[in-house]
Amino acid sequence: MGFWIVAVVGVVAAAGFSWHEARSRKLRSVDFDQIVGSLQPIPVAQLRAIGEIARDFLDPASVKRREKCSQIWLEPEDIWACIGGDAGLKRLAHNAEVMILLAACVYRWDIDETYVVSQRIRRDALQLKRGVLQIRLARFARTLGYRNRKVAFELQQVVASYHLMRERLLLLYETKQYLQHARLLEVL
Amino acid sequence: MNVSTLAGALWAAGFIEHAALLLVLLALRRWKRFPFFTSYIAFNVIRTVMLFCAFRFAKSLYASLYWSAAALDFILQVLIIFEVMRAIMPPGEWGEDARRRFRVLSSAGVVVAFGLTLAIHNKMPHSYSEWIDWSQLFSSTLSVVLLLAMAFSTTALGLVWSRHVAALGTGLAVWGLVDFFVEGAYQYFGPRWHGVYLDYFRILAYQAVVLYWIASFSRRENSRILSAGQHQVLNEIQSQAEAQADLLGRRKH
Repeated sequence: MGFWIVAVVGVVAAAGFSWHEARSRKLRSVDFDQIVGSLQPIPVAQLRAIGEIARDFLDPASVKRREKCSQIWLEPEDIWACIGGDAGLKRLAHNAEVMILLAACVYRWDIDETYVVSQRIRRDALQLKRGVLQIRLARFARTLGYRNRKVAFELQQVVASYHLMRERLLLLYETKQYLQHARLLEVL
Repeated sequence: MNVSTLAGALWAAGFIEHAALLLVLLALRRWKRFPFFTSYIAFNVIRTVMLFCAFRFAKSLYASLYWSAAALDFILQVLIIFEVMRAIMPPGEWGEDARRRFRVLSSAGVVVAFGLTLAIHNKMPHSYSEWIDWSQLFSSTLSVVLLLAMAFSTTALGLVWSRHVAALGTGLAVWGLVDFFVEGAYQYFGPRWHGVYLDYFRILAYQAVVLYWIASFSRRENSRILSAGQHQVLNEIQSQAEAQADLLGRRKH
């Protein structure tokens, strides 16, 4: 019994350390150009739509500026179309992961403020990933004939989280890494 | 009790390596950032000399000196883990979330290490030698569990380990794992399993870690924090760029 406990604990601990080492090495050696190159570009029209949807969600007073003063000016189908459907959702999830690495890039230059901002970005990413998972589950359930009404809210949350992550990251680069800000703005 | 040539060579090599690492830590001022780690290495230099002297001139003192040093060794190792955490965690209220995560995980780690030691050892210790076996296994298990708690509580938050901190953490993890496997093997197969070779393996692994620390701490930290002067130069470039952008904007209109 004791032998197996030592073997299992040892192997699990070795696997844990290896995972940590690989992850830590990745964060430590991130190369800005390489990471930026892995971002999936989002068409300008879609990016604009993401901003609009997010503002509608995060700043309700912004609807006063619209022709039709209503907080439900977009239906879930419209939001789905605006973000580019399934492919668009995949792009947002992928870029969210890349943005976490990009925040880690700045962490090497500035610790205090970047730590706080990168944790905010990480929390937004967590909400985004949770939302994406809910949407995927709901879409799978729909193929089996079940309808989940929460999806509409998750969709808006995903878009808002992405928008917040993007804004936070761009501002972080503008204030802490302005030499690379222009390049980031070009692709994000 | 005679010391074999191999054991003597390992003893001498251990002393030279520790002395070299201590020199690196003091000469390159690494001790300022890692005071407990430096104390631990200094302690190892003194311990080697004292144990060697006790072995040659006062053999009756050797055992008590050896076990007292082992207790201090363990306390210093735990302090080093907290030192690494302090070096990684951001200061102030914002870092409280990360610190609390480590506190919760490490408290749970103490309970887990105690449970694992009981499960591996199979009974509570009674005699002096049983207490020694038990505490050695507990200390190696606790080191591994605390290091895992530290790794998970920082990696989960995406905190970047600098070169020196990463070297210290990796070295401790490798050494902790080898120590845990060797202690586990001794508990299960008995202290005479494969004679002293298992112990030699543990010593060689530790010496390899010390060599790795010498190489890592001799190199500069990979920090890219800008100096005040560099900040000023960049600010000037930024102001010039903004002024030119303004000018261009006005010309367009």
